[in-house]
Amino acid sequence: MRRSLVALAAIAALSSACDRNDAWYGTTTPRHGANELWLNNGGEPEWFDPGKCSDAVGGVVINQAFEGLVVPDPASLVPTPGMAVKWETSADKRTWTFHLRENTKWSDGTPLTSADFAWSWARVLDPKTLAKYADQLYDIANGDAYHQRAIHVTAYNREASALADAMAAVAKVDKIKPDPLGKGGVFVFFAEPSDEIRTKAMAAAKALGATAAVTGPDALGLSTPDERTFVVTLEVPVPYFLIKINTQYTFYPAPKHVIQRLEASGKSSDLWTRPENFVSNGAFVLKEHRFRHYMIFEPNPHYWDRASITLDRVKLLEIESYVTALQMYKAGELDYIGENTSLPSEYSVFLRRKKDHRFTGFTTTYWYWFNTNDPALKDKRVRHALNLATDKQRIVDAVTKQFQIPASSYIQEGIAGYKKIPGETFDPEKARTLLAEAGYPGGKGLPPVTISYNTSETHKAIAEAIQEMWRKELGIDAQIRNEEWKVFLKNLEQGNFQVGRLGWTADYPDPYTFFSVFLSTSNNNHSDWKDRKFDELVDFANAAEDPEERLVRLAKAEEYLLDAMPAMPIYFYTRSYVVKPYVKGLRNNFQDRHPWKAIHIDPDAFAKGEVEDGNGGFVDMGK
Amino acid sequence: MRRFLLRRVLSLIPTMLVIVTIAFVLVRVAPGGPFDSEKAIPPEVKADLEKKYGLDQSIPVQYLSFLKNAIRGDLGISMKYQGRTVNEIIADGFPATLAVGSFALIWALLIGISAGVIGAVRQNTAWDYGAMGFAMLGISIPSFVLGPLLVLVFALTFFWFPPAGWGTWRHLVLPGVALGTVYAAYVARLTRGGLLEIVRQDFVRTARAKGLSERIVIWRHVLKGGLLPVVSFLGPMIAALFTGSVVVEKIFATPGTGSYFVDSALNRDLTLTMGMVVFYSAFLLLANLAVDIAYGFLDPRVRHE
Repeated sequence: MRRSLVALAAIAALSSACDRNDAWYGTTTPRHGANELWLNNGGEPEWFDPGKCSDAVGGVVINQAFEGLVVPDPASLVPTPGMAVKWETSADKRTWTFHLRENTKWSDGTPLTSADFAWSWARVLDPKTLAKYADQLYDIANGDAYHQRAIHVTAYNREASALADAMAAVAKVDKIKPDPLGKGGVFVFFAEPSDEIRTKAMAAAKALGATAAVTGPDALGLSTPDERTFVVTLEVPVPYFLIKINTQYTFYPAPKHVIQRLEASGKSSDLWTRPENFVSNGAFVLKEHRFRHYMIFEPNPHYWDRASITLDRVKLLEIESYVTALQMYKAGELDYIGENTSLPSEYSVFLRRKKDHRFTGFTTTYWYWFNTNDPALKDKRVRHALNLATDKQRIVDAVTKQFQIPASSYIQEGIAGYKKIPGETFDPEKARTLLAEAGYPGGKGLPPVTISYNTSETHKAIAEAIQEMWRKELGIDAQIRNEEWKVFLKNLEQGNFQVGRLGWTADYPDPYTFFSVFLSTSNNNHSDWKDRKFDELVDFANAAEDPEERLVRLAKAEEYLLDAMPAMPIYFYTRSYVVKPYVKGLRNNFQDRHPWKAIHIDPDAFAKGEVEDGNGGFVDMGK
Repeated sequence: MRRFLLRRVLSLIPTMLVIVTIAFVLVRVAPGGPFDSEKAIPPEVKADLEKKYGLDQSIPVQYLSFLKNAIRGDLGISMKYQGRTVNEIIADGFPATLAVGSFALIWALLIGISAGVIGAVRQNTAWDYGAMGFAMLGISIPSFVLGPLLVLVFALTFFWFPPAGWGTWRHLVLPGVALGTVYAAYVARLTRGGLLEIVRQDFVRTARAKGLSERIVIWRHVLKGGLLPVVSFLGPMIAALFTGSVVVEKIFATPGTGSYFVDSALNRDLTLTMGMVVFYSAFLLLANLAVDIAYGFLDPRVRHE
């Protein structure tokens, strides 16, 4: 397959040479009417149930068809009124009250009320739902207790230690936590829970005269005083809560009435996203879906902002090959290559000269995890030496060539106003000194080091470049090993690696999403570097009253993290894409999110010389 | 004949069982699972997901329940796509693969047999060299080179056909040609070789001696026997064309089943992988059976007793 793409790219590059003087890539006028948009989604969505989705392809569908309490501005991503028109927080920042828009409806005309939100959020946390992103909702008071089926002990009047002892006698306890809603009672979390342990624990609690049950949805910090008011109480104040529910689709509502109707009729409720059952609350609804082929969307007639939508029909193709998608773009069968299609790297330099090419920052960082349990890597001086001996500028310029930004820290400039930490840059002299200090002068005596990556030409080229840099600068003879994706993931998860490539994409545009990866409680922290001090620094930052102060404190935490160096940052992603000159309203942003409701087609834009540049201005049409 | 058929059909059952069993064990012992992902999911959710799809049970138990359902024609639910059954996924994708495969088959036979006949009838002339040169070229150019070349010439230069996609007959042509050309080349060489062998046989000499026209000699006598090598090649060829090609389906964005086999294995979509194994192996075995039967009709020397 890969060879085929290389061949395709070579031939296409040849053909590109023929029209070198052409400033635009392919057609410049639409092959359809002014009310249509044709774009690619890079594949078949796995799930596009907002509560259960965890894939980027499904995410695009959800972002267009569903709407949360707030919606991101197409350019700045700042939360703006969506299903909610206004909202306020309590003095302790723990309680959020959302006031829903009057007369909101689902696409089938059924009224949408605050109960739909309460039900949808509780559904994600319901352990029976099997939502992969359920832990995103642990911010809600008792979200973790409900989802992990903790034992809720109430009406307990004796001393706390007696209960703790009784629980510890059943099985190893993870934590016992008082109700954050202040209703009295405690929640008991076991380290390795099972239904058998839960039964025993409830019996033990009852033996002490208490009432005990597996935590139900009633314990959640969600309430609906009336049809238009939705009140959310959080476990602890979360400064980025609004930003999170703004872009994280897991918080968007699912149509309770449709799901329950299917369940009642004895069918699988997973079928609700089929076109014949599909109901949504966002700007567009799914009308037709051909598996692994395409999806057709039309405007939702009951959408509150229906008047501002100019598109009548959106065709979302599911083409997997980037090169094929680009050919279709050239031929005018796609107006925009879409969020899940990258430009093939062989094309990047050539396409950069085209006027329909756009380029923007993107919230992903590429890094190498260090396994801090490994004998060769447990000394942080060795980790720093490896980092200092890696010339990231050269990797970006000579290896990846996709105009990425070399990274010497984990979080890039500008995410929610965050200032990038300088970090340490390429310094082979210092690297050699550190390695010698660690007891391995000239790399001598250092146990063998292997870089693992999942099979891909790019990952391989980067690993080879770094292998060569370490050999040249430090005298280390590192090995490289490629593994099939699922095998690679398994090995990372089990700590069966030394240096492993991966990275992180922000779930929501706030720097905290990157910090959360390195917390000692995180399942995504593959380095096995667990540091309570770091956890505390992050918590301290999030407790800050003033948002500016919070960013300053987060920066302190990142400095601490960089000093420990559980992972070696390599580069920050950028996003390159092509969009036809007649597509208007498609704005560049950090998350590469482009709501169709803001897009309109101007077939004469090219002729008139009014082609948008994605940053609020126009493209210079000069010859 | 009837006994032969019965024996062959019955022998398919143990063959199927061996294929399915080996495949089942292989996909279960491969490291990594369907619910491993880049962003870790909570361990309890993962355990519950595995439970939902029966992955918490021992391999023999899983195997038996798989067999039980498969015999009833139920291949299970995909572990990757929301609420999609494997039967539904195959039913959705197979028509496209079948359409491209049929086009490729017709193309391969039409071009291949014509070139082969020309080569044999005009042996050692410019016609022969031209036809066999084409065949060599066809064999040497893999579909991943031919496909993009066709796109470049016929889609992006002359705009005769769409560069990729699906929906009309025009979408069938380029992938069909890309897929079928290699086989056309094989067919051409097999036809020429088969024909040349028959041409030298005594019964052909007799036919000519009786004064039959060259056209009738070739059509009625030579071709029937000369095509036998092509018929035996038909089995593997039909199998290869109708199971689809990952490469061609990706290049032309054809929504067929060709890429499911590879993709489902990479995704560890265990149910879909097993479904494809069952579907393809049944298809291959039946295609081979059909060829064996056809052989009996074409070659009087082969009699199925």
